[in-house]
Amino acid sequence: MRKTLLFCAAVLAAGLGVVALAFQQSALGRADFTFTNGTEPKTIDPHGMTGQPDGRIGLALFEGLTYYDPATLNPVPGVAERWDIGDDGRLWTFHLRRNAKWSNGDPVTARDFHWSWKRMLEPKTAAEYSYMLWDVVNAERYNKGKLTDFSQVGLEVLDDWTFRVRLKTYVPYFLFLTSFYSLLPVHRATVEKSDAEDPGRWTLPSNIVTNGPFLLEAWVVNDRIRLRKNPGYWNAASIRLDTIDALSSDDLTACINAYLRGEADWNPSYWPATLNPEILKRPDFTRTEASIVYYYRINNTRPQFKDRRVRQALSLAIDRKEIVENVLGLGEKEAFTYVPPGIPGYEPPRGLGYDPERARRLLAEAGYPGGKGFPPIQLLYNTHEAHKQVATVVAAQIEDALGIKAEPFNVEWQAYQKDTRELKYDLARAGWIADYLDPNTYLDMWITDGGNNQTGYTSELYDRLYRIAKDTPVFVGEPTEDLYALLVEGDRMRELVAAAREFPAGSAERTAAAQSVRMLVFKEMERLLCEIDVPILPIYIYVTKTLVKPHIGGCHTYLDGPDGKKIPNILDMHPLRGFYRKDR
Amino acid sequence: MLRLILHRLLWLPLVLLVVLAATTWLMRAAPGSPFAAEKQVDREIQEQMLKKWGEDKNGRQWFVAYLKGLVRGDLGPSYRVQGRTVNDLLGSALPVSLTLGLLALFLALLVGVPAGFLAGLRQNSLWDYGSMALALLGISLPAFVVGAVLVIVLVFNWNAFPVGGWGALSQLPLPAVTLAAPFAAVIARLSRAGVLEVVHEDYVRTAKAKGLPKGEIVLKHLIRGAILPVVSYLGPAAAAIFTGSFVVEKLFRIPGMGMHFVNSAINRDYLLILGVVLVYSTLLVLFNLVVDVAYGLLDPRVRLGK
Amino acid sequence: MTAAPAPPPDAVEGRSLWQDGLRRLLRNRAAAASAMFLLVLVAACVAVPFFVDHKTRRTAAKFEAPGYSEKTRMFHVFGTDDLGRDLFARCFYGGRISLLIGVVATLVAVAIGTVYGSLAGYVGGWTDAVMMRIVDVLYGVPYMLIVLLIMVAVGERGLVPIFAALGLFQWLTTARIVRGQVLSFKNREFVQAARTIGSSGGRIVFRHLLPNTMGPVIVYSTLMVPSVILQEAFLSYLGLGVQEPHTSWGLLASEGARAINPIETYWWLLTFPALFLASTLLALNFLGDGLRDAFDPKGRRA
Repeated sequence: MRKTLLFCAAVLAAGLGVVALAFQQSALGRADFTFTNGTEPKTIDPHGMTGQPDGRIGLALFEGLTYYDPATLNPVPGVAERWDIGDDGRLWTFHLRRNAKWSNGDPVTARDFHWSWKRMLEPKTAAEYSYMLWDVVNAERYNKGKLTDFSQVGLEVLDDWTFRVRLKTYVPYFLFLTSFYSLLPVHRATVEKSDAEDPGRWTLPSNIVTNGPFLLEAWVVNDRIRLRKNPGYWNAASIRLDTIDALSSDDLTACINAYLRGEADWNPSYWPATLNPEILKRPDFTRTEASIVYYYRINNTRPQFKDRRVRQALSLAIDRKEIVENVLGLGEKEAFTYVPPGIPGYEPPRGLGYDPERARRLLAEAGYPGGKGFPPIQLLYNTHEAHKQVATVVAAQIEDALGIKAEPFNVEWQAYQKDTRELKYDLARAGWIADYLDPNTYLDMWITDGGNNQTGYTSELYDRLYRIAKDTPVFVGEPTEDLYALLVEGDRMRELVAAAREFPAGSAERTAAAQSVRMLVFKEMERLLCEIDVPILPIYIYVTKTLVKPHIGGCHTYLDGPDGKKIPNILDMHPLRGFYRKDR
Repeated sequence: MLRLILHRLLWLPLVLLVVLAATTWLMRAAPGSPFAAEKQVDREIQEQMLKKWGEDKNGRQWFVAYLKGLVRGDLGPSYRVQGRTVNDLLGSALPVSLTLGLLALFLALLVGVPAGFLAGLRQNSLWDYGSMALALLGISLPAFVVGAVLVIVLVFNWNAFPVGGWGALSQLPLPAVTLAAPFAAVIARLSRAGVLEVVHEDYVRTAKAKGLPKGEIVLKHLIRGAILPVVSYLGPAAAAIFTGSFVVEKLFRIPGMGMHFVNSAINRDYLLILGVVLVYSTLLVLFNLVVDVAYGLLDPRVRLGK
Repeated sequence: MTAAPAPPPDAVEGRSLWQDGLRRLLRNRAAAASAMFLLVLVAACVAVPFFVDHKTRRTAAKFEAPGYSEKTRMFHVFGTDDLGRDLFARCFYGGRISLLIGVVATLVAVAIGTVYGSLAGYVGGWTDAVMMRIVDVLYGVPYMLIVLLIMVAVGERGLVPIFAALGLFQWLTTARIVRGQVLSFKNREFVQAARTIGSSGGRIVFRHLLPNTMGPVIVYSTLMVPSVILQEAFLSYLGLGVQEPHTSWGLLASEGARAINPIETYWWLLTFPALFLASTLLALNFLGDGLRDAFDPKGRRA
């Protein structure tokens, strides 16, 4: 008996030792501001970041040439205090401020940016977002390994405080790119030291060197990331929080529970749809239109979808109203075009609308009267409650309107991406969110063999329009008459081009006037996308869901727009640097 | 006894080798890779990524490289959580799961053994039927159902506990109870069965005939025999409970092993999968060893037989 | 005149193990009731979906509480789900799938385990030692992780992967049981007799050994089915189990569990599938216990 007791005591002692070990991590206590960040960040290395959970942390820890002003989301001077634009918008010279410092005291210089952007374009870094810099001269070639001499890439260090970027074309939204998390600088010595001794580990709290408004104090995987205000930040006076906790959780219920119980102050994650009716009633909930579109890809390579009348029929047969009113429930909007509303200066076409009668006629014309002879359609989606509901309803609508058998079919995330990429689907659910506020972020993916095209759609006219949109001032300089005949609003375009040509070539006025031409080009591209060729089926536009406690400020559902008007925060971007507590 | 221990410990590396090889083979058979992304990555970039992570080697080379690292104590990097090695991740998750598991196991034994004993001693009584029905319920409901209900009742209705997280003592009870429930149910059933097995044995009847008080009978004579089925169950149960329950960890936001268990498979985080399998198999062998030793200590027949 | 020989006095009817066990089983009220319940349930799951519509989506009528619904002008015994489908019908339709998975996966496990175990037990010697070592090693693999990998690898094409994946790791214990039984019967007289008359090994195994091992195997299988159904529930909770348009109790329960929130409780979404799950599993466990008590000659094995 004694032996047994001794044995039990030994086991118990071992157990208590383990408990002590587990609680050895000093309890962190409550931060000034806690929020649910969603999935555990994959990395906080700017060149590996993808997605909001990574990006939010990145933009708090580092600062780029510019950053998004939390109240307006306009790019404002960050490390760069001013810039000059020359050569028709193709030459950008950034003048850096002298007092921007890294967290170890080193000054932030132009060489940091040069080295960081080089690292991003380095083929072996394999940065997913490297395409953001492909507008820079020779950058794409270098990134793909076709050029090995980096000095030929359009990035120049004129001196410690002057950084020059040479672009291939005029990119009006370039400052949005310089504010984006992929283009953040990294500290060269730290990264190189880590690469030599302990690869990939420079982002650990013990090693990391940052230059942004916050420091990385702790990172407990699957639990939280703790940020602390950086006293050495050049604009530390504008930061009104001492500590921030970003909680990681994949589970929607756990996230919303944390918020409802007051353990989190802001919940940017989604929540189970069953809660929608109740959350809508809450005073701490605000929403507005988002720049995110939910759509279905059509596999244009399959024979039954080759006739554009079939694709048009599919678009006309979907009753988006039923979906946004009955299935969703947060005020989402029907989408008849692909680019969500809200992009300044852009006017979309009307789209096809909902007309099951016309759909049936088109289908009959294409050779499938009443849906006879048409093979069954599978709607592919990745396993998720919300997608299941939409797919079920869309399939039912197609069946009812067109007489074609349609069924939802789900696979898990990775298999879904693979099937979509390899064109192994009939219809596949998809979504797209803007990286910056310009129609290009939505429309450049549909060019022939575009990486994110994944539908087999190819159109010479579309590709041609894309090239024109890329470098409109050049097009204005040498317009081609045959183009206007191919467009719906060809006459209007001719007028706009003529108006732009009244200004001297290379002048700022012509560049500005070319913008109107550019916006019309985009509109024509959307027409191809949503009215004529219809390779995709836009379904609905998301809403931004903002659920934040009343004592927290800085979470702007509406931004301060030009002329003092309030405009919706359609990118749903809430930089952490803008938050503050109203009760302190 | 010593022979048994030595024998088991020597088997361990072989078992691990086979297990790791089998897991590796299965992993490579799965489509998808750790690098799937929403935005399409150019083929050249993809190739670069594969080279960076050593994925361009074939299966055998990869496995050998892994084993070499293993011998050095290096379990490799995680693909999904970049910048962390598998050592980091498991090193911080294992103590958490062990703590939670220990607490849950303790609770399960605390509730299950007395309940089962009482049911066995009072066979066919109301207590017997009642507690066994409750126990059966415990193993008939999935963990996510039990957890969801407990959260509603204890967190939102009673405000008794925080809703999740790790680091404070108040965050322990709820997940521990949810985790313990099914194990308590099985332990109750097993201890009842153990009691029934032993209660008719000669030595117990002798003790009864001698007129010993009931309590003494139970504690001195009955317990050693009756506890045997529970002890054998503890081996695999402990391994399962300690590697964390995914459902409990997800619901209560606990940074334990269960999350890694499931997420590594879903994310195709190859090296993390192997790390998890390594830990699990080692724990299983060790726990089974502890259990067999305990069994030997408790049941003299076993000791003499060996 | 010689009368025909009188028929022998009432011979005492010998009772086989099966008949004996069956009598004992039926005397166990809980087990008998459970068996009855399960029969009725299976019949209902097969029949009800033919009569009640479980597929039609009426999105305007979602989350209707049990009772009469104005929007659909129908009586919903269990209410409706997130797409306006009748939960009553879905529970029975899901029952088909859950029970099917439970039974088929168990059968797969039993089949593999029986073949493996009887081979090991009968052949004996080195082969046996090696085969059982393999089983020991496989026990060390965290099978849930492998199941996840398999499900993720194969993708969700129908139910067959689920049968295979779940059955694949349950066969280990069956193999052990069958082997143990074969070993204990291998050298009995009736086996030796069969051998002397020249029966082949296979015939011996099939005709003589296996029938005697079936007792514990049946008991264990009845207790395996609930565990398989629970594993399927876990897979469905992760989104890797049964997929639309099929449904199962596990899938229904996980949808119901997600609908639990502190604000609005759609309690019926969780309660009814959980009830089906719990009662079926309870019945199976009672039945399994009863079978074990009935067929075990000692009468009270742990």
